[in-house]
Amino acid sequence: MNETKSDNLTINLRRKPTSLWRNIFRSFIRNRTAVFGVFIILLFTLCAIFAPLITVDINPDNNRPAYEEMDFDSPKLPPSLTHLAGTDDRGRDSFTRIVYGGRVSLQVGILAMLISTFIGVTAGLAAGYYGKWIDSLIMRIIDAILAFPSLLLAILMVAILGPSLRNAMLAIGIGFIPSFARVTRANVLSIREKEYVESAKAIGANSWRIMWLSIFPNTLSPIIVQISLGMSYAILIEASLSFLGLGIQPPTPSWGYMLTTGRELIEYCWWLTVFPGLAIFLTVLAWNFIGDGLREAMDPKQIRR
Amino acid sequence: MSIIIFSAVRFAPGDPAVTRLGMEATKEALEQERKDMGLDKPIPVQYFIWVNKVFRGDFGVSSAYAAEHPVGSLVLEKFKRTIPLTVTALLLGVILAIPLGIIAGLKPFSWTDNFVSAISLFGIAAPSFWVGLMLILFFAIRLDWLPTSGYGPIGSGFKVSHFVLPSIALGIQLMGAITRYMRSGMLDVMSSDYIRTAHAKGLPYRTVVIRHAMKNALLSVVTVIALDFGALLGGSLVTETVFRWPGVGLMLVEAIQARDYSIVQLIVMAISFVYVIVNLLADIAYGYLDPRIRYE
Repeated sequence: MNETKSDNLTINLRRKPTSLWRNIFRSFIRNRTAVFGVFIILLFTLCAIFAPLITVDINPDNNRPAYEEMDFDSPKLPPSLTHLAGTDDRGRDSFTRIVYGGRVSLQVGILAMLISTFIGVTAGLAAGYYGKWIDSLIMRIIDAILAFPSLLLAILMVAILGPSLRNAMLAIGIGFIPSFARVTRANVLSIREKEYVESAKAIGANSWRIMWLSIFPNTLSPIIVQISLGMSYAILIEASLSFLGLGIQPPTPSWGYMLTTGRELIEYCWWLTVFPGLAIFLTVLAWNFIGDGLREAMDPKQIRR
Repeated sequence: MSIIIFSAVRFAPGDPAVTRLGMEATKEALEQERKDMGLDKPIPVQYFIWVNKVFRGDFGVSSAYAAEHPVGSLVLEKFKRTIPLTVTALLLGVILAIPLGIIAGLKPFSWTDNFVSAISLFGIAAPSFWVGLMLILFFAIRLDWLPTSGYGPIGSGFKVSHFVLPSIALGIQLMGAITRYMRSGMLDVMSSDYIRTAHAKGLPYRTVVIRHAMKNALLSVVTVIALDFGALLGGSLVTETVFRWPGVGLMLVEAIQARDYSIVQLIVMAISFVYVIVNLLADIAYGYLDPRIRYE
């Protein structure tokens, strides 16, 4: 007898207690668009990691990487089976360049998010937990960063530091600190008053321990949503920066810079603007899907159902 | 609120001082010129000299343009071309997004809603400069209806046909975001008690939707429009480059490439200033539209 009956109320004792994260995972994979997003990101990530395996280096003996391999006999070719996305004015295979460009996008997105999550969450925790002048100081700095549109801030910083992949990542990362700090702070303010924080204080845990072990885990879900939405913006901004020539410098291909080349040849080669842009669009769309899926899955109103 | 404006305004001029720091970093051939421009003085001193000048309306001299052209009037000239573009895009985005958002929000998860959501997602995820390129490809090259770029035909002034594609490219981006917020605003509002009351007292559906629901859903959208205005300004910088539109964006990009810092710092400051002002106006409008919110 595993079931206890009392007043028409059936409680199944065999049922395992459902954990928060398992519930989130379950409602996430039920969301079709979110799963589609994960699929696209996985596909693009695998392509980026295994780029040398899925592209052809037409002349492996020279020192040029596959994406720089030029074939002057076949410039400006429209898409075909040998050149899936056509070739550019120097006979470089566009598909190969898009695959390698995915590496840049992914790298920038991940590292920019690491920077902004780390700094933003720390700042938000400190501001929310300590309050008083620390809070005011941190939030004033955050407001100051917010006074700039994020793309403008990134352009400005890259203009100061000089265009490179590292500086683009740094600039994008700093631009996203405010959103993380704000989300974290807002959560900390409500969690700070909870009983378990009080009990942690009562048993003599120090502030550092309370912040990271009692409060931080409970602010995770909005932060995770923020990360996936931030990825989409980071990739968008990176593309804009490299389109303006302020991102990673040639010869390394990036989607944004490929569009610059495409812009110059737009009257002759439509494929040079369509495909790199499509890659940006799909990646950004996929991160948006994932972010929305996570938000829905982590919404407390939905979990209670 | 006054603290925010104060800190924002305080911060804005502080930041070009950092831009000057960048100039310090690339000092090879500029040694003599730096002395002329007063760049050999300590950074804080330079900063105060600069702030002092700004308040007298003197924005310095550009290193790329001739000395008789003050930077202030050069940049103002370009702003006159960028502002119509962003304002048109803004109007276009709002006019398209609000009806779309209402339709989608009234019948959630219907096929109309799915269709509208697809459009708005396209607007959000497609970078405006790529949308611009696609518009050029289709309307300017394939169909040959509109010119590909520029401010007007070569040698003459402005022409409206040159204005159409860039403003659409920018407007689509904004439309996506606003549609989304309008939809979720309508969803929230339609399930609220006062809408049920309005239905219960027998008001026609039309009146309920327009007078009661739309007005309240718009509230949440106002602040969002102001925040997205930042994205619009950023987007216009890149979109201008796509269309070779001779506005602030193109000027900024050229100034960065030429390391023309007096122009860079002025443009960045001016855009941020516009952005802060727009957000301030949105906050005021929000308090005006929603009497429950009162500022001290």
